[in-house]
Amino acid sequence: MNNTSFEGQAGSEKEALHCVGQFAARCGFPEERVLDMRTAVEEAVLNAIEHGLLRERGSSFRIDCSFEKGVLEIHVSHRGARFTPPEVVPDIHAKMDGRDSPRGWGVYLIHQLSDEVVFEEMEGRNVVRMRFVLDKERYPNRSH
Amino acid sequence: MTVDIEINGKLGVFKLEGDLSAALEEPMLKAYADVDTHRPTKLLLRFVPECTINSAGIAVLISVISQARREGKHVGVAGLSPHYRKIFDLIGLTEYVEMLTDEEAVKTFMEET
Repeated sequence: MNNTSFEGQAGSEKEALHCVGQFAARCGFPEERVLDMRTAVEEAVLNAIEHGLLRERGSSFRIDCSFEKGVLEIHVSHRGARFTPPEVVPDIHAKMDGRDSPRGWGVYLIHQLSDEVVFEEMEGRNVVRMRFVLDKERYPNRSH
Repeated sequence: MTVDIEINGKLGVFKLEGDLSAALEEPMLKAYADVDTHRPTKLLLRFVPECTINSAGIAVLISVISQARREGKHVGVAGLSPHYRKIFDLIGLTEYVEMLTDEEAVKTFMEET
């Protein structure tokens, strides 16, 4: 099996993460990268809930995972108003001294923990496309 | 998710367990207020290794650590799994807390109070 999908609503995040984690482990990713994936996907799902599901009653998020040639691609998508990710890197110093809200780490963590990430709109859905390379020595160009 | 507190002289210990998310805010602020009545000079955030922390939980921790530092309290962090130590490092929180990576370091931190 080289792909899997999950559809859920607010409250089913843990089930979704379990599903992604199991799939990644079956693809051969080490535990450290599986944990990175789970955190990145959790942040994408929380974003979908905050910006979509909580504003549109009864709506859901969807996760699609596919594994091919050493690359695991995970799409987290939801219907809703277009989400534009912040371009500014959060500043811990500004947050610690009260010049900025302590929140706003989700997109940053997604970028840091995945090998490649794209935020886009496809057919009325906000999609976060994340890629994770299994073996960077064997597939050096797969994250570009 | 649970937040248990313990007072040990001038040290306030917060034991954090479960999935730490936005829901951490209320119990954490209450725990902080309870600990603060004992006028601690140091705080120890002791995570149960199995706990998970998302970005909203991190925001709550930043608020608490920020407040503690403004009040001149030294903050130590113990029990984080390697994954969350990496997350703390990525966001820069390790510049603001003392990372205690083994029980010997925790013991020393507690004894120095």
